[in-house]
Amino acid sequence: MHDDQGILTTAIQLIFTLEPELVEIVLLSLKVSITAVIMATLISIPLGTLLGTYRFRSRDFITGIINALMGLPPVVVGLAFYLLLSRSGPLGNLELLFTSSAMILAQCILITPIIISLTQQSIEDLFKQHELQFKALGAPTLLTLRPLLRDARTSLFTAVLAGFGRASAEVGAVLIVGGNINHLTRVMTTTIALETSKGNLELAMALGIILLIISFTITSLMIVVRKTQSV
Amino acid sequence: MQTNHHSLPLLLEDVAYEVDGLELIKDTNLKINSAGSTIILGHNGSGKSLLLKLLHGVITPSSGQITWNKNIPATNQYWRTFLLQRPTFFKQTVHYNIEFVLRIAQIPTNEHKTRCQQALEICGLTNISHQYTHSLSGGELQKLSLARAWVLKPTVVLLDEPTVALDPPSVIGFENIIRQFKQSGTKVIMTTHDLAQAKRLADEIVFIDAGKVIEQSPAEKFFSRPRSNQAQNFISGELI
Repeated sequence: MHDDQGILTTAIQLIFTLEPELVEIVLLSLKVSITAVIMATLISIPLGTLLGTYRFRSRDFITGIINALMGLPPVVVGLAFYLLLSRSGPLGNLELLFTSSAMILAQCILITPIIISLTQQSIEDLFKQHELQFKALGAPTLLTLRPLLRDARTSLFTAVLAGFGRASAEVGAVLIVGGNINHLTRVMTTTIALETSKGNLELAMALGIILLIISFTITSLMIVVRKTQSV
Repeated sequence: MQTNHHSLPLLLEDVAYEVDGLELIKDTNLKINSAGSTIILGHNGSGKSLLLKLLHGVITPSSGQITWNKNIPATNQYWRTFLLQRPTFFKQTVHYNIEFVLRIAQIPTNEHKTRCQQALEICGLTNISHQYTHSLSGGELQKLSLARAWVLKPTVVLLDEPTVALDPPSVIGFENIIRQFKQSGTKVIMTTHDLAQAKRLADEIVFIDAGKVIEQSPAEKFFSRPRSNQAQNFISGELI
């Protein structure tokens, strides 16, 4: 039987003493998630803006696909990447399997549809609000994008935060493509899964607390950003 | 009053506009060839705003033809500006919103500063040029809409019931700016259902009822001797 209070005390000690293994795992997790978010943002903001402002024939079809991809099961993404990146797979020669790069790619694929969709929604709402005015002014859509993106910046920031939240909490895909290798691909979520199964609950609890702090920080930031927008 | 205004005459030939089989503008023939201001007068829902949107090309007629002076290239429409009844603005400064119009009209950058200053001054916005639009009152926003038009130095300005939500002092300020447009040689075409305002501003009246132009005449004549029953009823109804 576990001593819950003892586990919690040790977990807090691990955090406050900046235990090297814990710090290494947290830093790698942040590196992977932040890189994935940056990559996804660079893809998603232009794509979301395009879908939110231009009307073209396959727009609804693409929007439907992106919305469907928002609910992608992470383990399926992990499996797909595993097959792609394994030695016998089409991208095997890149030797990315069981590296942090593979984890970044998997997280990027998982969060890109989320950021695209939220960006599209924000920009489309804003564009519709101004559409008649743009017609009256004779404003070409291309020239309206910069001010529209500026006006939507808080919503876009929220979208990016939502992406980061999803990425940092992801476990299935990164476990499959990263392999949870110590000092190489071991991140917070995969470590929690592993250490819990081993009965080493102190480290799992410490990482769990840090994940919760990250999650609360993101949620609080979203609330602050939304309040700023509504002022 | 005939004019050599280079944007005129404005000609509407058998113009109709329908939505889902419902004819909202019917069989309209109109020629506007006078300088100064033409007020399109009519009840709410008579089709005034639609007519203005048709004139600016925001919507296209279901049938018929609308032509401004054919010497003006159709591709460059920045000689004509359209003020919406409910204009929208970027959540940026007053100055930014005015300069944006210069950018889309591809006015050389070295002219931006002078033009913006002039527009801000004419519309009484100089002191709030660095204020953000969300902090402005309804009257200030309408003035900003006018400044956005002024900055392009248009030869024609179309205004869709621009003072409908303004208090009396703001209306007076707004009408003074419209008079300055007229004085600078800009043709003003404006819709309103406010008879008093039409009397104050109009050189010519186009009276529209149920999507059809009923009467077009000089303002003085329209108010003293309206020809149509609809116009007589409208005027007498307004005066009750």
